[in-house]
Amino acid sequence: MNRIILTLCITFGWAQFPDSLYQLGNRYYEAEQYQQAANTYEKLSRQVVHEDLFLNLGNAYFRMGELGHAIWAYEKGYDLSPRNGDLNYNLNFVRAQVRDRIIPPDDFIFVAIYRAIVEKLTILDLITLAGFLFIGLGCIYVLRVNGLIADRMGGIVNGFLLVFLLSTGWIMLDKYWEVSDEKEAIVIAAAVDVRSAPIERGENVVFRIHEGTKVDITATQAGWVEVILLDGKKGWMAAENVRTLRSI
Amino acid sequence: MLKRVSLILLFVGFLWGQVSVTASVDVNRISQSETVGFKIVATNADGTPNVDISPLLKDFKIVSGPAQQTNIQWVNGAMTSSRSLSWTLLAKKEGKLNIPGLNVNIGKQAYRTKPIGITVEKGAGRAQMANLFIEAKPDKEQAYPGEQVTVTYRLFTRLNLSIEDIEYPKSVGFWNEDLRVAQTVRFRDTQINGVGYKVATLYKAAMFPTQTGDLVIAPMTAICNVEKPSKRRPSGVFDDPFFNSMFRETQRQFIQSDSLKITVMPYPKSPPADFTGAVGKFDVVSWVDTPVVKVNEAITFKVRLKGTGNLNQFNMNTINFPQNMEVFPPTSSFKRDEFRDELTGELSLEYILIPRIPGEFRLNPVTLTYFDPAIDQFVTARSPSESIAVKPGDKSEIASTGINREDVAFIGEDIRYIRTQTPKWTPRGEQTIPIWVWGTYVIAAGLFIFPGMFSKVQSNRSSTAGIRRAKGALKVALQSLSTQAEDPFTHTAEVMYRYFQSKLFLASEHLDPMILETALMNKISNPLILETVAIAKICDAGRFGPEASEAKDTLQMQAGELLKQIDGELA
Repeated sequence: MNRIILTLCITFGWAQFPDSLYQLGNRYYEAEQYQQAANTYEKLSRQVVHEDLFLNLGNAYFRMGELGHAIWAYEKGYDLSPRNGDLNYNLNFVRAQVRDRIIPPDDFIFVAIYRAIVEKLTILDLITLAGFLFIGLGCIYVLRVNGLIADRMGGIVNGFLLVFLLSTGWIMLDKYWEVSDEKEAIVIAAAVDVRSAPIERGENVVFRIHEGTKVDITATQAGWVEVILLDGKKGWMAAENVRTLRSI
Repeated sequence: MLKRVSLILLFVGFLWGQVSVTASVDVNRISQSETVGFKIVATNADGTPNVDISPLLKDFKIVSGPAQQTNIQWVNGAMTSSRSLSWTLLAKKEGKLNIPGLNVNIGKQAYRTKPIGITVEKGAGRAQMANLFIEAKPDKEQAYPGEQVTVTYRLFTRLNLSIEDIEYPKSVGFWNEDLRVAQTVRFRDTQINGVGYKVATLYKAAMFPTQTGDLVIAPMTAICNVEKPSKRRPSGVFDDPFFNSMFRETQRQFIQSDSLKITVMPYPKSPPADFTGAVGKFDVVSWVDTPVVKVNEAITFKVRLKGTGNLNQFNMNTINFPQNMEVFPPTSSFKRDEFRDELTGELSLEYILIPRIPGEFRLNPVTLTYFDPAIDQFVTARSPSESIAVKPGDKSEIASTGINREDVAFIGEDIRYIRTQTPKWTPRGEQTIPIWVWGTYVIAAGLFIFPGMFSKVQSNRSSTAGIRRAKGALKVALQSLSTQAEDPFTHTAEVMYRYFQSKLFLASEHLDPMILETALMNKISNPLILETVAIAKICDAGRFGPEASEAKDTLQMQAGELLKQIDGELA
C-alpha cells in the first residue's frame, strides 16, 4: 500500500514542494526505507533548512548504521536550535557510540561556563536579547527624563542594562567569528589514517580516527584536508572521508 | 675388563654400604605434659628422605620440626653418611600410644620405618607439676542453651619464664566471644596452700552453648621457655651468683589446661512461639522523633535493645506497622560494652516511616521474648506503644499501594523518533531576522527619540501660537459672525475685539473704540478706521441703550464685511 502511495505521489509531482518532500521522507522512514528517507531529506535540505529536517535526516542515517552522517545531520540541526531537547538527546546518544574518545584539555571554570553559554545560544537569540535590553534602556531613559525614577536607582539599572548589553554584543561577535571562522567536519568513513603530509605513503601515518569523530579543518589541498582534533592532534586526511558542517 | 668393573663396583658398594632407614624416639615413657623427640635416620642415602608424617597426627601434635641434619664419618677408611629428620611431638592423650610405621622415599626408592610404642602417663597434677600449670575455670558447670559460661584461663608459675605461643581452645557446640586476650602477660603474686606463686590471666572467653548435652571445652595449650640454671658451672673467679645468672639456660616446656565439661540443660519449659533464642536479661525501648506529622513526611522510629546475654545470636521479633504507612528497611548498629565480663551491649534499629494518608495511627509495642536463667523463666520485654497523628499534607495525597516504589529504569536506549509535523521552512541561505525582533529595536529607538522630539514640538508650538492665532483670526471671526446671536451688539463687539487682539497682538483684555482707533492708526486707511470705530460705538450703544436698535439686523453682516477689508489691508 505504501509503495502505491509513494508511486502515485511521485507520478503526480506531489513530491516537488518542501512540505510534500518532507512528508514523503517521513513516509519512507515509517516504512523503514531509511535509504530513500535519507535521500529525500537530503534533497529537501538543499532547498530549505529546519532543525526538524536535520533531526529526521540524522535518524534515517542512524538507522542505516551511518554514524558519521547521522552526527553530521544532528550537528547541523544543533547549530540551528542548540536547545532542542530531542536533537540534544539523539546527538549525545549517537556520540556515545563513536569509537574515538578524545578528551579536550580542561578549561578554566569561567571559560567553561562562557563556552557553554555561547554554545547554547544562536546569533538570533543574542540579537533578540540585545533588542530587549535596548527597550529596557529606552524605558529607563523615558522614566529619567520625566523624573519618574530616582536618579540613583535609574543610574544603577541603567548601568546593569548597559553591562548586559555590552556582554551580549561581545558574545554575539564571538559567536559570529566562531561561525564564520571555524570549519568543522565529521568523519564519515569507518576508519581513517591521518598522515603527517598530504601524500599517501605507508610510513607517514601518525594516528587513526574513526567514524563520527568531529574535526576542525585548518587547511585544504587538492583532495586533502588538514585536520586538528580537540586534543591538539593534527594531520592530513583524504577530503572524501569527512563531511563539512560549514562551507569552507 | 669386565672383572675390573665388577671389582670397582664391589669396592664402591663396600665403601658406601647399604641404604637403611630407621626411626627412633628419645624416650619411651613420658607424662602427658612432656614432649618426645622423634627422629628418622637414613644411612648411606644419596638424597634427602621424604617422609609422610600424616599417620602421626592422629595421636600426636607436632610442636616443632622437621629439623635436618647430615653426618659423614670415616672409620678405618670407610665412609658412613647419614641424613636425619627430627620432630618434637606432644601426645594428645594418655595411655599406650603407637608411632606407626611411616613411608620414607629417598629418590625413587621407598622404605618403611618400624612402629614404636610410647607410654603416656596421666599429666602431672598440680602437686606434681607444682612449678607451672594453667588453670581453666568456668563460672558455672551447668547452663542452658544460649546462657553465657565465662571461662578464665590463668597461668600459675614459680619459675621465670616467657610465653612463646598460646593455642586458644576451640570447642564444638559453643559460640565463642573473646572477653579478654592477654597481649602482654602481667603476673601478680598469689598463694596456694601457703605456697607463693605468680599468676597471670591468659585468656577469658564468654562461651554460649548452642546445643544441649554434655559439652567439652577443649584445653588451652601454651609453649613456655622456662629458665633453668646451667649445668656447666664456671669455676674460679667467675664462680659467683652474678656470673651464674649469665649462664642460665632456657628449656621449652609445653603446658596444657584441663578439658572442661559443661552440662547444657534443656529449658525448663517449652519456649513460647515468639522466642527467637534470646537468653539473658534485656530491655526494649522504642520512640518516634515526632508524634505529629503531615502526610508524606518521614518519621523516624527508633528501637533500642539493651541488655546482657547472647546479643548476636537472635533476631528481633517482626514489627507490624500500620497499613498505609510506607516502611523502609531499618539501619542497625551494635555497641558492645567492653568493660564487663558479661557480654553486654546495645542494639539500635532505625526505621523510616512515611504515612500516606491522614489519621491517628498507633505503633504496636516492640516485644522480645527471652529466657532469663536467673529465674529459669521466659520473660517478654515490651516497649510502650506509640501514637502518631498524621495531618493532611500540602500536596495531593498519594494512595498507598503497598508496593515499594522505585526509580524508572531504562530497559533499553534508543534515539528519539522523527518529527512528523511539517515545520515552517526557511529557504536555504535566506535565514532572516524575524520582523518582531526588528520591532524591539524600533520600539527602543522610539523610546529614545520621541521624548526629545515631543518636547521640541511643544516648545515650537508655544512660541508661534500668536502668529498662528493672527493668521486664523479673520476665519474665526467670520465663523462666529455667521451665526445669529440673541444679542448681536455684544456678540459683534466680542468678535471684533477678539479679532483685533489676535491680529494686532494686543495685550489688553478690555478694548473700547478709543483704544481701537489708536491701535489701528497708520495700519489701515482712515475711512476704515472711522467705520470700525463707528461700528464699535454702535455695538456699545446697542449694548447699553435702545437708540441703535435699527442696526440690529445688519450689524453682524456689516462687521464681517468690514473685517474682511481690514484683514486685506493688514495683510
